[in-house]
Amino acid sequence: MIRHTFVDALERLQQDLLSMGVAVEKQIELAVDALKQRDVAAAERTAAGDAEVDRMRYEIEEVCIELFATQNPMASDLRTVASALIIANELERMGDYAEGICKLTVKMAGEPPLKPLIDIPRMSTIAQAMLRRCLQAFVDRDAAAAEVIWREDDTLDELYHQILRELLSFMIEEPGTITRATYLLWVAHNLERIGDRVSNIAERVIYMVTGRLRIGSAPPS
Amino acid sequence: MTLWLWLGPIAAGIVLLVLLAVTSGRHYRQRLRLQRQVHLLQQHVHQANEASAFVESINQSFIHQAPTAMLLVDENSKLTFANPAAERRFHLSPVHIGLPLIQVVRDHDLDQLVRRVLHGLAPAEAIEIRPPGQDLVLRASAQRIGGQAPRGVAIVVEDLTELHRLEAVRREFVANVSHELRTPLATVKAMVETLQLDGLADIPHALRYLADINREIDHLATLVHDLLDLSRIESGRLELQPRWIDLRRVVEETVDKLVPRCREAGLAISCGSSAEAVLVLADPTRTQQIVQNLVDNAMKFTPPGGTVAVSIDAADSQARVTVRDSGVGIPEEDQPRIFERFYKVDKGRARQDNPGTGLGLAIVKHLVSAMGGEVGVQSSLGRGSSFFFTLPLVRGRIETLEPLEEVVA
Repeated sequence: MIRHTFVDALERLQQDLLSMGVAVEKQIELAVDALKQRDVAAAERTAAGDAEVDRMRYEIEEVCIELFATQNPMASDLRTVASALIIANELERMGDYAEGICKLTVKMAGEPPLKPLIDIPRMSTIAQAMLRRCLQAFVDRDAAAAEVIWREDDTLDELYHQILRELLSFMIEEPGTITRATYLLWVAHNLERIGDRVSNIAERVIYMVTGRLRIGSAPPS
Repeated sequence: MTLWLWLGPIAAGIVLLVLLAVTSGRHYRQRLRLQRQVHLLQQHVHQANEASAFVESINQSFIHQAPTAMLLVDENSKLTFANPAAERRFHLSPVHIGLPLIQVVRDHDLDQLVRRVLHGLAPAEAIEIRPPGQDLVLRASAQRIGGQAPRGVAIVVEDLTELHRLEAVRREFVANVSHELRTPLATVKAMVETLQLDGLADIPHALRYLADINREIDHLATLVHDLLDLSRIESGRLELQPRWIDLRRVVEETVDKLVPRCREAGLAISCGSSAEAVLVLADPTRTQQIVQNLVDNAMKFTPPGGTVAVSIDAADSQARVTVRDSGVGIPEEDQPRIFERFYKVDKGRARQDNPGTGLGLAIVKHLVSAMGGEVGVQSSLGRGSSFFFTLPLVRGRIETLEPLEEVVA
C-alpha cells in the first residue's frame, strides 16, 4: 500500500467510526423513546439493532489491525489508528448500555409505571448531545472541544445522583416499588455509564490530536 | 541548332508551368471543397453542441426545481453534488461538497445504504429513514453509477411524512367508525336481552326500553346515512344540482324549520340579513343541509338559555353565512382539526341530549368546497363559536332567474 492509499484508508476508517457513532447515538435515542412510550415492540426492535453496532466494531477492529500489520503507522497516524481501535470499543459498549435499557423496558412492561419519566429522558438528551459533539470534535480534530466535553460529564453524574436519591425515597416509603425503582435505577446507571464512555472517547480525541494521554486535573468522578 | 538547344528547356518549362497551373487549380478547387466540408462539419458540431447544451440546461433546471432531494457521492462516499431541495433538507452548502457523506448527513442507515449499493451485488436499493429527533419519515433510494468499476451513487430522498400521516388518519377513521357503530348496537343488544329475560313482565319499563331502542336505531340510521353521504361527496360521486337561488331565503326557511327544536333545547335562534336578495349558484337542498348541520352543531355545544344567531351578508364576490353561538367555545389548538371526521375536542363537552354523529362539520366542509366556497371558524374558549361558509356571488339581474318557488323545496 503506498502512501496515498494509506491516507485513503485512514479517512475511510474515520468515516466508519463516525457512521458507528451516529448509529449508537440513534440506538440510545430509540431505547429511551421505547422506555418513555412503554413500547415493548420498539424496545425489542432496538435491542436487535445492537447487532449492527457489534458488526461495525469488528469491521473497524479488523481494519485497524490490518493497518498496524501492513503500514507500520508512525506518530500521528499511529495515534489515530490506536485511538480508532479504542473508540470503536467504547462505542460498542455504549450500544450495549442502550440494549440494556431496552431489556429493562421489556421487563418493566408488565408493571404499572412508577412515576412520569423526566430526569431519565433529560440524561439521555445530554448524553446524546455529548456524543454528537464528541464525534464532531473527532472529525474536526479539535482537542479543545473534546476537553470541554470531557469536563461536562459532571452534569450527568449529578443527574444520576438526583435520580438515585429520588428512587431511594420511593423504595423507603413503599417497599412494593422496589422492583420497579431498581429497574429505573439501572436505566439511569446505564445512561451515566454512557456519559463516562463519551468522556473516554473525548480523552482519545485529545490524545489523537496532541499525543497527551493524561489531562491536567483528575477525571470527574 | 543553338535555338533548338534552347527550345527544349523552354518547351519543358512551358509544359511544367501549364501542368503547375492545372494542378494548382485542381488543388485550389480541392481546398475549396475541403474548406466547405470543414465548415459544414463545424456547423454540425456547433449545432450538436448547442443541442446538448440545451438538453443539459433542461436537465439542470429539472434537477434544480425538483422538490425531491438529490445527492451524488463518488466512489469514496464523498459528496459531489446536492440539488437545492437536498441543500434545504440536509442543511448543506457548497462548503460541504467533497466531504464524506456521513460527515454532512449524519445518518447511519443512509451511509450503510450507499456502501451496500457501491460494493454490494444489487446496483440499486431503497430504504425508509427516520432522522433522529425529528418527526419525519423519508424514503431514500440509491443507484450505482458506472459499470464494473462503480463511479459513485445517485441518491434520491423523498418525504413520506404526509403519506404516513394520511395513513394514520385512515386507520383512525376506520377505528372511529367501528367504535361509533358498535356503541349503539351494544346498547340495543343489552336492552333486547333484558326484554327477552323478564323485562316484558313490567310493561311501563318495557315500553321505555323500546323507546330507547328506537332512539338508538335512529341514531345508527343517521350515522349510516351521514357516512354514505360523506363517502359520496368525498369520492366526487355526489351529483349537485346547482341553481340560481336567493341564499337569504333558503337560510331563512331552514332556520324557521329549526325553531321548534331550538326552543325544545332551551335556546333562542335568530336570523338576520339585509333586505336584498343574495344570489348564488348552489344546490338548494345541500345548502339547507349545510345550514342545518351548522345550527345543529351550535345547539350541541350551547347550554340551555343560550343563543344561536344566523346571519347572511354579501361583500365583493362572496356571500357569507355565519352561525354564531354563545356556547362553550373551541380551544385554539383544536380549531384547525374541527372539520375532520369524528374529531372531538373532548367527549364530555357535547350536551347529553344531542350526541350527534361526529360527521356533521366534515359534511359541511366537503359540500361547501364542492360548491366553490370555503368554511371557517372563529372561537375562544367559554365565549362561543362562530362558524361561517362562503359561496361565490352571482352578479345577475333578477329577471334572468328562475322563479324561486320552483327551485326551493
